[in-house]
Amino acid sequence: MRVTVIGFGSRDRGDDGVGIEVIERLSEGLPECAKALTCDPARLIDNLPNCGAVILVDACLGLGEPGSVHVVNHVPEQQRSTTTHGVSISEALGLVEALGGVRLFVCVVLIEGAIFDLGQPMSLEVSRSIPHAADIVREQARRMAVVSGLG
Amino acid sequence: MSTRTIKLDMISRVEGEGGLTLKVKDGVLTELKLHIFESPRFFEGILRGRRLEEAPDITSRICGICPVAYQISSASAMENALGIELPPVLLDLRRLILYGEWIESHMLHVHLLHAPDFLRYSDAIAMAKEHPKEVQRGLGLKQLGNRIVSVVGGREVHPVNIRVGGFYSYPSEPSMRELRADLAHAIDECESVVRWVSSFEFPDDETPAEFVAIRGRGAYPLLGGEIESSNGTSIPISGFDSEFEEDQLEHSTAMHSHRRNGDSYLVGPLARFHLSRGVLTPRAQALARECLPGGAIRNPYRSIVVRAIETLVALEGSLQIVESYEPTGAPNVGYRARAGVGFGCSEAPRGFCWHRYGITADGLIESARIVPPTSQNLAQIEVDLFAFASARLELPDEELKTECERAVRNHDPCISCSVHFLNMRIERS
Repeated sequence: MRVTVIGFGSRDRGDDGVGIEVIERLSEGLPECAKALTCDPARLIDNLPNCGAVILVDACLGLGEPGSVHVVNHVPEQQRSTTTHGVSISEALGLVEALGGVRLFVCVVLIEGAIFDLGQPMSLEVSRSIPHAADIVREQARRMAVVSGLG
Repeated sequence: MSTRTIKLDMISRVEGEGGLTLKVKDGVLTELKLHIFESPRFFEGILRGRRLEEAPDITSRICGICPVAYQISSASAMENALGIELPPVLLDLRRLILYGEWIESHMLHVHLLHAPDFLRYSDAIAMAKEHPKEVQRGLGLKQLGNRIVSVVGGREVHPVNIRVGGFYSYPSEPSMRELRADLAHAIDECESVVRWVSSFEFPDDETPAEFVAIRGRGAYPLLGGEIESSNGTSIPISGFDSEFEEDQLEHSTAMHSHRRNGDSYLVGPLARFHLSRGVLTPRAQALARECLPGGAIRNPYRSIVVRAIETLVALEGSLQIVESYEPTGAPNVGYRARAGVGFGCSEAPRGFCWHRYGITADGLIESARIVPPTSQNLAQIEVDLFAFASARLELPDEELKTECERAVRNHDPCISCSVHFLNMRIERS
């Protein structure tokens, strides 16, 4: 069992790529039981075996000022999405729980974005927030390792 | 006079977003519409003016589940326009990556979207709690499909190694050897999947549809050259436009394909199985005799068994290619741009995907047409649903909605592809 940190997003859409950028900053400071990776939401279910806790990192809209970092311990209610092709993030996590007979510890780190247009660079505010967001992810990984008994 | 409107705002467990409205007047179904409201995506327009080399990468973005079929259809259309042919080793790699896509798509649909209908669970999560072994087995097979796509295509989603003329590079021999042992084990696992899904109870239903698929030429259909029909005819893929056409409808952002005489038809697993059952591998043939006995399989509910058998075919085909893999020569065939028109076709998991491109002398795309499998099936799904719902109007609205959703899922529609689509409404008057 391990803590899996997963970053979502597209670098081709400005601030949407921040989840990927944060993961790339995590080479150090994660607990040993933690693994950081990026994946397409459609492949989430393939990346969660042996997982006891999961931290999802993604961009968001409507939670605060651009660059602000928010931590919630549940997957925000989402409309059915075409991007996951039949398996939403909540469903993927639910499947992992059902198959493993475990209760997954879930934490979502969200970074407020400003620019999501195709081909646009990341905004300065979001770009500057990456080290802080990475620190929060490390802190959450350590906390989840302890809380879930993995650390 | 009484009116009953039954509306399903969003059909669940299908790829993409669409809805269904039934209008019932004096106990008779008068109208049925599959509403496709996912935004049109204008891929043909995006392609115009781009270089021919860009087509495989742009068209892969039409779908996150079946990008490979789009890449291969567009690449082979360009190769057709340029007059180049691929050597056997490159064609085998095209087959292998397409098999990988079939395995992952079919196993996802069978285990997470379709099986809960037969075992009467609300969703895959509820089913997984009571059938963990079967779901784990299915997800394991799906992951192997992903790995095949990754080994040959460079990554699992929207692979990047397919190009006009072949591939950018050969997959490494060690990574192909690693696939070999897993494929042998997966074939045994897949036999168990076929037997498991064939033990389900199948409601009585039958589609009278004409079945259309790529002609397999002695093997199960995969890459195109000819299109054949259950009416006994076959045409070269360049003749598609003379036999089939697409219409734009007010209630659908996806086009509807039909025969030029207006008749609808079906593509996909049932069509391929109907037309090419005789050329299944011996192991798949034996399983088909055991699990799908009798003559023609026209019951759409049994498509879950066909998908499992097709997965076995894909696993066996993959193993054969991996075992004989010897990368020789360049991983791609060179070419010089020239003006022309090219046609390409490959069997995506949901049916064949047809492409036509016009190319200028300096290698720019001046015209593009892409006909995805789901837009070919939509008209026939409406025809079949009309008959299906008409026979079940005595059911209460909620039950009728559930049954109609199941009937739609039999066809595994990929709405996102077709718009390049489900909500349901029943109006009774």
